[in-house]
Amino acid sequence: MPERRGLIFSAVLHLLVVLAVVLGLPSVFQTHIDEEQPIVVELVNIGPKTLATMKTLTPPKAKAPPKVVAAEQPKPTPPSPPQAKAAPPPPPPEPKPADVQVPEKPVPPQPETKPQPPQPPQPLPKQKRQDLAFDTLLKNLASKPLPQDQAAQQPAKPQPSSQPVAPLGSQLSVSELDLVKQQIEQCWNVPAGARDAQNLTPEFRVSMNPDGTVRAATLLNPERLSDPFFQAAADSALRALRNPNCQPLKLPPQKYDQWQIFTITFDPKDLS
Amino acid sequence: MKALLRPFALLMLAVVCAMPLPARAELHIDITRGKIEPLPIAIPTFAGGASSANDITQVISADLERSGLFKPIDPQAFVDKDPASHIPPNYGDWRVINAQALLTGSATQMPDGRVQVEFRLWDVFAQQQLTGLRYTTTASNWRRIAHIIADAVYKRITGEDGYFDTRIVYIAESGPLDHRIKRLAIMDQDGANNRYLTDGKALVLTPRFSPSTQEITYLSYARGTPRVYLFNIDTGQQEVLGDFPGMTFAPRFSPDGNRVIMSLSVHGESQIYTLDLRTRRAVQITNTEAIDTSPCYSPDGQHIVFNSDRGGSQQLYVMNVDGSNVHRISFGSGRYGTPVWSPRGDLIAFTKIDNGQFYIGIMHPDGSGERLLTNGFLVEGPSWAPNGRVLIYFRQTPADARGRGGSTRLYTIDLTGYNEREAVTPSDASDPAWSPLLP
Repeated sequence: MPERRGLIFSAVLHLLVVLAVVLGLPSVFQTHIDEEQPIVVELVNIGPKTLATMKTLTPPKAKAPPKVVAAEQPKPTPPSPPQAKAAPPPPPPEPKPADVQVPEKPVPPQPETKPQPPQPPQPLPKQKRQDLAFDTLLKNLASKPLPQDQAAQQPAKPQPSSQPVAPLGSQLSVSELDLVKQQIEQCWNVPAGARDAQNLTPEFRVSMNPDGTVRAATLLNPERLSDPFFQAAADSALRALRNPNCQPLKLPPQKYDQWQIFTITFDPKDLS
Repeated sequence: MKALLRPFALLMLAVVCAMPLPARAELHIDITRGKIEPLPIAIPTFAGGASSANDITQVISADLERSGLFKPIDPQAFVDKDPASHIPPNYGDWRVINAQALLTGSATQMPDGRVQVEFRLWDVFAQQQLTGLRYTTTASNWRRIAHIIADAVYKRITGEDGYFDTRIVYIAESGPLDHRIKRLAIMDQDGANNRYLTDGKALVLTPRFSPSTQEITYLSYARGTPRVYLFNIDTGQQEVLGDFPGMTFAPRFSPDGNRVIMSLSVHGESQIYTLDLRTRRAVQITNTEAIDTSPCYSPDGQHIVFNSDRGGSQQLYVMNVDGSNVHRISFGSGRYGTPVWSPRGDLIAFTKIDNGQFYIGIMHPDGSGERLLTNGFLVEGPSWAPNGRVLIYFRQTPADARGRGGSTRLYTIDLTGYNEREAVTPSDASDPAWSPLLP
C-alpha cells in the first residue's frame, strides 16, 4: 500500500510540475503572433509654429543736435494776418488744374481755418489697457517697466483670425502668413501719437496679381472716411500696401488661388 | 394633380437655384505692428518766380522736418528738378527716390504787388492729389503762408490740425545770474519774428496765451508785490487783474477765454480763485490750509487740475470746476507740479521732481499711463502746442563753480518722446507758452 501511496504522490507531483511548466512558461509552447499596431500619423500642412523670425521694433533714435533753420532770418516786422486766405474744402481726388478754388478778393479769415474745438475727454477706463499697450511703443524714462512691457517682449502669438479657413491641404502655413505680415509691417508707418490711434483700424479687400504685386485695394469701412484721423490711417495703410520696397509680397505662387483675394486689417492695438 | 405639382416643382427648382454656392472663406491678414518713421516727402522749390518762392519752400520744409513726422528729401536727389506745379507729376520720378509724398507749388507776383501762392500735395504711391489750395496775400506775408501750407500738409497726412502757424510767448533772460533781466518776448514757433513786449524793468514770469484773443496773462513785480497782469499784444496795454489782498500768481485762461484762474497767497496758504474778465468778479474755488496752486482747466471747461501739498507732499489733483469732487491723480514717487491739460483733452503734462532729477511727463486725466518724456538738471514748465501732440518747456544747464557756462533754453518734444529739439531763441529763455493757431 505504501508503494501505491508513493506512486499517487509521485503522479500528483509530476502533474503539478508539468502544469506549472505549461502554465508558467506559456511562451515555450505557444507561437506568438506579432500583430502590427497601426500608428496614427496626422498629415497637416500647417507648421506647428512660425518659422519666420520675429523682428523687434526698434524705436527711432532721438536726434541729438537740434537743427537751426538756416533760411529763416528773423524779421523785425510783426506778422500781420493775410489779406486773403481761404480754406475751401479739399478738391476732388482727380487732379485737375482748375480744382484749386479760392476767391480772388480778400476775404476775412474763414472759420474753417480755426482749430477745431477740443473734444471732451474720452471715457478712459474702457480703453485704458489698450492705451497702455499702445504707449509701450513710445518713450518712457520711468525705470520700472509696465506690466505690458513684459508681455510685449514675448513673441507675438499667431492671431487666430489670421488663420485661413480654407480646406486643409491648400491653405497658407503660419510661416508663410507671418512672412508676408512682416513684410507689410516693415512698410507700415503707424499713426503714433494720434488720438485714439488704437481705434483707427482700416480694413481692405486686396486683389493680387499672380506675381505677388497688389492689383487693387478697396477700403471696406469707407463710412469712417469723414474722420480725418481715419482717413490718414487708411492712407498710411494703403502706402504700406503700395510701397515698392514691400512688393512683390512674398506669397507662395503655387497657392495663388488662396491669396489672389484677401482681406487685411491694419490695427495698431498690439504695438510693442 | 399634374397641374398642381408643376408650380410646386418650379418653386423647388427656384429655391435650389437661389441657394448660394458654399463660399470658401477668404484669407484674412491682421497687421498689428509697424514702425515709427518720418514720411519721406519731396518738396521741390516752388515755381512761379516770386522773390519769396525759395524762402516759402524752405520754411515749409523746415516746419515739416521739425515735427519729426516728415523727412524732406535732399533736392539734390530729385530726378525731376523743376516739376510743373499744376499738372500731375511723373510719379515714377518720385517713386525712384523713395518719396511717398510730393509737394509742388508756385508763388507768383501779381500786378497789384500781392503774391499768389498755391500748392498741391500728391500721394506718390496712390498716384493722386491729396489736397491743394491757393492763397493771395501781401508780399510781406509769405512766411505765414508758408506756415499755413505746412499746417495743411500736416493735417492731410496725420489727420491732426497742424501747429506751425502759431507763436510762442516766453521770458527772455539776460544779464548776470544775480542781476537777471527778464522780459516778456514773443516769436513765431520756428523762432522767426522775435520781439520783446516789456522793457525788463520789472520781473515777469509765467506768461500764458488767451485761447480766443490776442492777450497774454502773466505775473509781474511791476508794483513791488507779484500780481497777475493782462497784456494785449496788439495794443501793448497791460493791466492788473483783480483786487486781491495778497499776491496772485500762476494764472491761466479758461478754455473760452472769459476767465482767468490763478492762485492767491495769504498768510502762507495758497488758494485757487477764478476771475471773470467781463464782470471782474472773483470766486474762490479751493479752501484748505494747504498750498493749492498751478490750476489749469480741462479743454471742456468742466474740470480743473492743480497741484497741492494737502496730502503731505506736492501731488496732482483733479476737481470739478466748482471745487467739488477733489481727487488725487499722481501716485508715482517724487513730487509733481505745473500740470497742464492737453488741448485735445486726453493727457495732462507735468513737471516731476524725483531723486534730484527733473522730468517732463504725461499721464491720462485719471492718473493712469504715466510716461516720462525727458529729464535733466532742471526741466520745467511744459506747455502744449494747440494740437496736443508737442510740448514746449525750458531746460536749464547748471553753471560751473564760478557761475559760468550755465544756460536756460527752450525745447520742444513730441508725444512719442523721441523728437526733442531746441526752439532757438536769441538769448536765454524760460517759461514758454504756446499760442493757439493764429486766427
